[in-house]
Amino acid sequence: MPTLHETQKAFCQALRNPSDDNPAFDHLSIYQHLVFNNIDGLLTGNFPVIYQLLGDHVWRTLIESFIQSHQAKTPYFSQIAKEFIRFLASNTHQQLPAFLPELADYEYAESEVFIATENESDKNQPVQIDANSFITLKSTARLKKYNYAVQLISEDNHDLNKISEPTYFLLSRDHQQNVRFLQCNALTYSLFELLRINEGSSLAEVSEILFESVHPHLPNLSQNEWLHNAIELSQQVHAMGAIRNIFPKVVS
Amino acid sequence: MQIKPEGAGLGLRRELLDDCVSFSVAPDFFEVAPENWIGIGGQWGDSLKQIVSRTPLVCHGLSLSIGSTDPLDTQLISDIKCFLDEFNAAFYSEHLSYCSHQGHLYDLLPLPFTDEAIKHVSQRIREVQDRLERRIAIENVSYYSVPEQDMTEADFIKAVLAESQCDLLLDVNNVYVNSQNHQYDPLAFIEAMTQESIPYLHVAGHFRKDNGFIIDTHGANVIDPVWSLLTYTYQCIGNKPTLLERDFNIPEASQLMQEVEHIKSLQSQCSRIKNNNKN
Repeated sequence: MPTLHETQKAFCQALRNPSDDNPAFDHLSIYQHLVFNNIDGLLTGNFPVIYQLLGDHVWRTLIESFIQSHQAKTPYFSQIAKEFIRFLASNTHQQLPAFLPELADYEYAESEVFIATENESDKNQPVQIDANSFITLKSTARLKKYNYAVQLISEDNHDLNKISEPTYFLLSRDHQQNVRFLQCNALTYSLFELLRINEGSSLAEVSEILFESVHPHLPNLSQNEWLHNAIELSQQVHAMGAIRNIFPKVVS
Repeated sequence: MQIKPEGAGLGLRRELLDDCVSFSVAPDFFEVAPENWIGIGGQWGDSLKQIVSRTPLVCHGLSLSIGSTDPLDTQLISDIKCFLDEFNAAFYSEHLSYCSHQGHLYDLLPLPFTDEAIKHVSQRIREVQDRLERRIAIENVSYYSVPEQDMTEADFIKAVLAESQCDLLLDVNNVYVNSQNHQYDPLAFIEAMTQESIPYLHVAGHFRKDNGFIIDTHGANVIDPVWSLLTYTYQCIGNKPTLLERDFNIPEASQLMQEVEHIKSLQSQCSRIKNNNKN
C-alpha cells in the first residue's frame, strides 16, 4: 500500500496535470475543475486587463500552467495574485508579451494599496510640511517603476516596446481610504525613494542630498528652488495620504 | 473576552460587508476564514473591526493543510493566533483534509482513510493546539474521491478525534453530500458522532450535477433534506450554534437572513419538543 506521502504526491501530480491520462483516482476531474475555477476566478478578478488582452484561450492555458508548475507558498488568498506575478516574472512564457509581468504588477498595485495594513507609526500625521519636517512614506504607500508604459496598455493598444524613460508612480491611500495614483518623473521618484528610506533627516537635508546628485544634470536649478519644489511635492502627496512623521508627537 | 456563539451564524463575505455594517444582515454570530482577513487593512479591515466589535466571531481556517505531509506552516499558525486574540474569536476550526503538496492548491483535498493518515493528522492537530494554546475543532469535509480506504469515513473521523483530543465541527450539509455520493446512511453517521464533543454545526447549499453527483458549492439555498438532517442532529445532540455558509451566488440580504432565521426556528422547535418531553 502506498504511504500517505506517496498518495498525496500522486494525487496532486494528477490534479496539476489534467492532460495526462490518469485513471488512478475517482472523480479527479471534479477536483481539477474546483482548483481551476477557484484560481481562475480569483485571478480574472485581479487582472482584468491581462485577461482581455490575452483572450480566454491563452488565459486558460496560462492558469493551467500556473497550477501545474508554480509552487505557491502563501496561505493567504489576497496574496495569490502576487504568486501569479512571481510566476509571470520567473518564467519565460513564449509568445506572451514581454511587458506582462510589469502589467500584472501595475494591475495589482491598486488592490495592494487598498488592502495594505497600517502600522502604528502611520498614525503620526504631520500638521504641516516645511523644510524642517522629519517625514517619510507611510507603510501603505508604494513606489513603482516600470520599463513599459503599463498605464497605456489596453485591448486596443498592446504593441508596446520598451520605452527610453521608465514610468514612475507613487500610490497611496487617502484619508477616505481611497487609492490615489501619482505619475511622476525620475527626479520626483528619487525624492520619494529617499523619503521612503529616511530614518531621521529633515526634508531640507533630504532635498540637499538629492540636489548634489542632480545638480550636474540640471545646472539651471538652484538649491533653493529645488528645496521649494521638494516641499511642494511632499505637500501634494501628503494630501494623498502618503506621508507620515518619522517621530511621534511628544506629549508634554 | 471571548463570547461563545449561540443561535444562528453566517459566514462573513466581503460582498456582505456593507449590509453587515448597516445591520441589514445581522445574525447571532459571524464566521471568517483567517486566511481571507489576515493582513487586510483599509476599508475592509475597518468594516471587519466594526462588525466584530458588536457581534461574536468564530474562525474557520482554509489553508493550514492539516493533513499534508509538507511541514506545518508555523508562521501561519502564529499569525492565526494573533488574529484569534485580536478579535476574541471563541472557536478556531480547520478541515480534516489537506490543500497543499509542494505548493498550495487552495482547495480541500481528500485524505485516505488509513491508520497512517490518522496518526499523521492527529499529531499535527496536537501540535497546532499546543501552538495556539487552545483546543481546536476539525470539520468533516465533502470528498469526491477516496484515495485509499481501510475503514469508513465515520470511523476515520472518530479515530482522529480520539487520538488528537480535538472537537468536531459537524458540517451537516457535508454529511448529506457524502452520504449521497458514497451511498451511506446519513442518520447513522450523525448517530455515530453523538458521543463526540461538537461545539457547533455548519449548514450550506450544494449543487447536484446531471448525473446525480453532488458538489459542495455553498452556492445555493439549503435544501429540505439537509434541513431535516439538521433537525435530526439537534434531536440527537441538542441545540448547537449553527452557521450558514454561503460563498457563491449570494442573494439579497433579506433572503439570506430568511435562511439564518430558519435555523433559529428549527432550534426553537427542538427546544420546545425537549421541554414538552420533560413535562
